[in-house]
Amino acid sequence: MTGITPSRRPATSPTNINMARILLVDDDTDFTSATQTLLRAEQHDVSTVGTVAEASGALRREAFDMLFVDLSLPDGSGLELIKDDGPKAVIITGHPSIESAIRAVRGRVVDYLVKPLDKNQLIRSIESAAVDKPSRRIPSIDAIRPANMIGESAAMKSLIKSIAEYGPTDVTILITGESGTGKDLVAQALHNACNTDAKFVPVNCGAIPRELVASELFGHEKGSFTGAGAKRVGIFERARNGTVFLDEIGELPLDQQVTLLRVLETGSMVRVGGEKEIPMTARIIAATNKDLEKEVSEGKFREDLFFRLMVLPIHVAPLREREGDIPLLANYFLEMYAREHGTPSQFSPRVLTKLESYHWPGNIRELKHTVLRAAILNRGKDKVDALPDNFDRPPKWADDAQGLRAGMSIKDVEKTLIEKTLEHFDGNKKLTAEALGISLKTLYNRLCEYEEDRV
Amino acid sequence: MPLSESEKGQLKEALHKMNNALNSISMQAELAKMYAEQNNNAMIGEALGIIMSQCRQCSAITQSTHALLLEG
Repeated sequence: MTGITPSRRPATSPTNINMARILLVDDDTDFTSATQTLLRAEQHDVSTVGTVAEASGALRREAFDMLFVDLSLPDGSGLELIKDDGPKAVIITGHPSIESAIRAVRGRVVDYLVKPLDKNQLIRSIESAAVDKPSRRIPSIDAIRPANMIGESAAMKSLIKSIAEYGPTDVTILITGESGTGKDLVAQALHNACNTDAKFVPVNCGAIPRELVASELFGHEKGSFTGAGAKRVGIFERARNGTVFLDEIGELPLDQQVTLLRVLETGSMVRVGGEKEIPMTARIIAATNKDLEKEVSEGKFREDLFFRLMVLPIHVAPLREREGDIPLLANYFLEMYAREHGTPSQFSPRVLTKLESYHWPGNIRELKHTVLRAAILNRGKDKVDALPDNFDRPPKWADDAQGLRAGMSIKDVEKTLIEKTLEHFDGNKKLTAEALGISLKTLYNRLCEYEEDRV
Repeated sequence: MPLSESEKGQLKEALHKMNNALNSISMQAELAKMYAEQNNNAMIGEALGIIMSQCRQCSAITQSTHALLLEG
């Protein structure tokens, strides 16, 4: 490639997604010429170049809506071409690496494609680039913000802005954040921003028994395995044109990660025991409180799926970083309980100060439970002027060895720990599992075992 | 006998080239499939679909081999 191969079409409006102006940067001319023809057939205006230098020149001279760029070019890395004030970019690479992906997603990258590409992938990436186009209707923050998404902090405003920008697209989104920060609310808000009547289908990947994951997600045909007495439509099919929210994506078994990746890349799926390809029309939003990059390096999470999900990452800040939001949230929960249970609807200033000064490692969920306990504790009073004992200290179960003694079996120690933790969280199994660092499924299994032992 | 760093580098380069070739074949097949569909030639379209699918499988092999080299 010795220079720019211009489009034969006139320049198109950058606001029309049907006629995006694209610069394709790759030194393989067989690939670029075929891709150019394919995308032109889809009414896109495509120019091609083969080097970083040629691409830099083209970007200086002309305005492009988006850039498809190979990472490995004869005179350098395609990453050099991705600028904050440049066109949106899609990275193309032969072999994914964490370093390049992480560096890339920090720029204006809307997608990350691994060779060999196919036409549908390219088209979906072009659609992804429409996220911040002016012609795209971005709903007002008030219109998409759920009533229970409370907060006026800078972190919260930034989060709401991301929801307004990313929501009305069908791009895969990964929500990260500590446990209890409200990632599920963010997912729901992203779905609401689509202004659609289609379903929002949440699924907790950690709560599905391993052997049933594929059937739950993708469905199964009658007789496909023992117990499959009838055809079952999976979550992805049920969410037709809507959103599948894969909570705790880090808990998805490795073999099912492969299947999910295939679905994301091909846009179609096959029911367990079936042969027919079924189009996947739902948008995927995933969430995790795990450090997925670390999980990848430890071989617990697939690198290629990680890249796929990282197309548009959204981080939900912990409560301790949301300055000014604690009183707003605390008052919101208190008023809610007052309406439901007739408890006090106001805090004394001293109590509010105490709540504000605590660092809330369990985030909003912990605050909510503390407010509930405080509301009940102060029932019959005008105001909440006392908080539960030790609310701001490490939980009793964490450092209390009562009930444990030398000579106990590991199994009994585990049982005691689970029961104490469950008691601490007022029987809330999800919180208990999170605190213990086990999946909800494991917790249920243990509780069933204890129940069987008891009987 | 374990591979030397130089040999690993050569293998990685070969895999990279192979993957680029697969990408090119796959995209040319996409293009041909589009032409086949425009001419209502479903059989050729189907055959090209198989070529594309096989390219993806070959590419998966090059990628896993590449990953093995990185680990080893």
